[in-house]
Amino acid sequence: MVRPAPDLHHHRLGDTVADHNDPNAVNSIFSDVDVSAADLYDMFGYPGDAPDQETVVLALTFAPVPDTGVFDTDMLYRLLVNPHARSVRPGSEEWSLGALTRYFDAMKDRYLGQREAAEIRVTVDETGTATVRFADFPGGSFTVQVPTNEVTTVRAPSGAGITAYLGGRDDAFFNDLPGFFRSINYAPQFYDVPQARQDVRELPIPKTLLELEGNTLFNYDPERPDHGRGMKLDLPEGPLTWEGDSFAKDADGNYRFVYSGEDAQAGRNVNAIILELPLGFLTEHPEDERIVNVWGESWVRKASSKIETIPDDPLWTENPVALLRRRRLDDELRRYKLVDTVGQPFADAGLSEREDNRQLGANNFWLAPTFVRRLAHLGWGFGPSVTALGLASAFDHDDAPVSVHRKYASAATAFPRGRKVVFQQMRMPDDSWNKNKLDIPLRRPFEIFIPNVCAIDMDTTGTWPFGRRLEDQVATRFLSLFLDMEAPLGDSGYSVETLNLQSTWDGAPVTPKTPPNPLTNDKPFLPQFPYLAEPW
Amino acid sequence: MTATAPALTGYRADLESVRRRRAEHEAAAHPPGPTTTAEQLTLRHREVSLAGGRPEDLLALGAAIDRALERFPAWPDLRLLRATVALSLHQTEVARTALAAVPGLTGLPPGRVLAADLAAFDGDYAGARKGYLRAAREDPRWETDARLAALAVTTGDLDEAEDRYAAAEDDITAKQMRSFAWLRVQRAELWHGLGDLDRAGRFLDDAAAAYPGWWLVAAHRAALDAARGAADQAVLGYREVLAEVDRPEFREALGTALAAAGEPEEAAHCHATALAAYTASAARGEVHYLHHLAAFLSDVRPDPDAAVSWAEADVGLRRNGATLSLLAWCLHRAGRTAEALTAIEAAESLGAGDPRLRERARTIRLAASGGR
Repeated sequence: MVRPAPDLHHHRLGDTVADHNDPNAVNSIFSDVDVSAADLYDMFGYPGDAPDQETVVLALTFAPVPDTGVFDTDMLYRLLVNPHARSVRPGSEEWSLGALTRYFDAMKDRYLGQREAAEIRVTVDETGTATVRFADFPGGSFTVQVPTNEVTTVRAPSGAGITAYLGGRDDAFFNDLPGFFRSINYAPQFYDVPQARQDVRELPIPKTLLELEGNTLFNYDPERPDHGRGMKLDLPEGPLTWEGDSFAKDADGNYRFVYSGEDAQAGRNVNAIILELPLGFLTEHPEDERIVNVWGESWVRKASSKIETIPDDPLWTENPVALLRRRRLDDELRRYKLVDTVGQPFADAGLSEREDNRQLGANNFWLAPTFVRRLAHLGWGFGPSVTALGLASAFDHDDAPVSVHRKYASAATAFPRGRKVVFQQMRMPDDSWNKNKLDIPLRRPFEIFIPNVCAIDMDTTGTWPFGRRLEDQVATRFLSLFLDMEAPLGDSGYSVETLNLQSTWDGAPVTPKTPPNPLTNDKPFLPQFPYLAEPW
Repeated sequence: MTATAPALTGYRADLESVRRRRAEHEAAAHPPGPTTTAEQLTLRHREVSLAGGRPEDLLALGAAIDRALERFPAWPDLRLLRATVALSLHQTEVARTALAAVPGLTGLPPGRVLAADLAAFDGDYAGARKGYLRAAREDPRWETDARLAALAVTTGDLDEAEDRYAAAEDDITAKQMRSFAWLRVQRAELWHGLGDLDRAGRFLDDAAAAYPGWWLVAAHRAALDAARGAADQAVLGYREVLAEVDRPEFREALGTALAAAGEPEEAAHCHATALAAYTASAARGEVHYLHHLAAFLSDVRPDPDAAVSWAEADVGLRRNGATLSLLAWCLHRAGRTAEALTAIEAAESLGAGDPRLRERARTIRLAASGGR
């Protein structure tokens, strides 16, 4: 019997069952989200204490994946450095949205130069050897290879000595992170949220420092003390809102604090890139350029660069030599994907409305209206809490007796309420920060967070917000944005440290009577490089 | 001296990992709540798909999801998973019901994407494109770019398809080599369809290097060998695939390759078992093999009237460019040229224009004009 010859060309495999060009066939409906070495934790930066020369200490910390002291070989980390002179900013008499906008415009023009910032680029191979590339510094561009988990001194072409440590350390962040999430009613910390409902994050319940009467979704439950501290419940059905009208009080008339003061990061490790560099290596004009901006980035290798793929470019067949030349000139970064950035603590978690802004990094200028709206949104939550505690609020909440959930569509509407929160000077508890006793203006929230960089003032100790030292309790200092820094308080008035003082809480009608976050790290920092404590 | 087994890599290691994780999840929680249940079933779906996507496994999974939905009817992840599995089996009404069961589900990006998948199944390509584009704006993901690419292939915009595939690839990292390999297979399939078999082969080389040992890559490689006329290679390839994944369409493909290689007896046996499986599936009321039946009875073991009947049944369930194109081809092979022309025009009026449809349209129009 003669059969008709099958048409082989017609028998491609695009029609096979469960393979209908359907990406769900390869990952199912949801992909895994693993703990990633791309998850940046903190960017520390402050002037070093070297007696013979001015140095800058930089420490970028990130998730210890695959293990503490072991780096992911598909990752590339960057520390970008951009020194400049102190900025001119609007005077105190110009507390207007227009002045703010002009400031951001001016800064944007200047900071677009961030793309040309010098950088330190790190990759680590399978043997644990790190390749560290210093590029575009006045002190030279060069590449060195250093072992991980060891302190190393490398020598720049200019002769400058740079101390480096790349490896595992104790996490230098000490913080009641669950308390912060309770304060913003952040569902994923407390509940297993359906993957389809990525819109369910900060629930439409007022932000607050004090528990809200009847807020059963987030209030502390003595029957389930670990809820939100490792224990998650299935997200309940029904309205995820709050309909109450007062703060919760106990039998003694005390409010319940959403914070515990406990260190949720205790006993945790990080991987870190820690460097101490001479200021003269970073800038040709160390006497003038006293502000060193720094931020970190994580990049992960693209799949296409993991293997030798076929060239998609028609040049490959038409002009292979030209293509090869162009490829040699291509930036190494083209083979990586930017995943995360870090500059200021809480710039993402506290002030960004959208989590997919994490790649913005220093160039977050277009978020300026969001910044104003977000501060007003937080102000309606935290402001009444501050007032209820007997403290002065910088946010104008019309004497609201309880926190309010309010969002703004426009910065112009939000700005009048949050004017002081945006513009007020963040007072320091004393003048020890100003180590050279110069006329250095106090920083204000708008210039702290935009651009999103750690701006180290070399004439200060580098304590936040003039940089960030390891021992700074920045989570609590962040909350001080909502205190009225001009109001009287005892002998010394308000400062970024007011909420870190036990005396503030001893007299407050609240339990537990504790600063929101721990005052010190779980392990003492080291007096010498690499400063972060040994890993656990 | 102790012999040590070589470390697993690529597909094999990945499959073992997925199986281990599913077992751990299933052992961990008793009784599981909706989150854990959805995670377990999602892992099971991933395992089923990875291990071959056999319809019987997908049907069993669909039943398991239905049982879970009796306990957690409003859990959106379970409804999305149900719709996904249903679409794999061409059960469009089941998918539609799943998506409609939770108010607002199709307003969320993953639900919007599945609703767009459903629109594409229904031949509403403009609606599908609109849904994908909106989902991509709301929640940019490589998977959505890949869907837009596949849609562009369907509608004949092959430049856009390549661009979209390239964009999807650019978003994939070294931690997602399985996804990367899958995308390279899609691109190979596109170039195979366009007749550039060398380019298709290079894409498959990349897929194999990125994720070694995957039957999906081997199956496409065998199809490419067959198209190149390397029947012996194709036979070897399909045997390798069948050792991993025994599906009737692979038996059919092996039979076709064997016939080309001059092995008529074994070829006939393979074709017979494939046809039996297709027929049994249809007899059980399943619809996922209707198009295979139509194509088989049109091209492999011609029974033109039966082929047309199966193709019409498929069009009745999902009237889109692919099903209308196949119906047109079956009608053409049955000598019903005028009706074939009507069917292909109906496909084109939906906006369909994939390479195979165009090829069929040329042949049918030639026949209609008096050519062969």
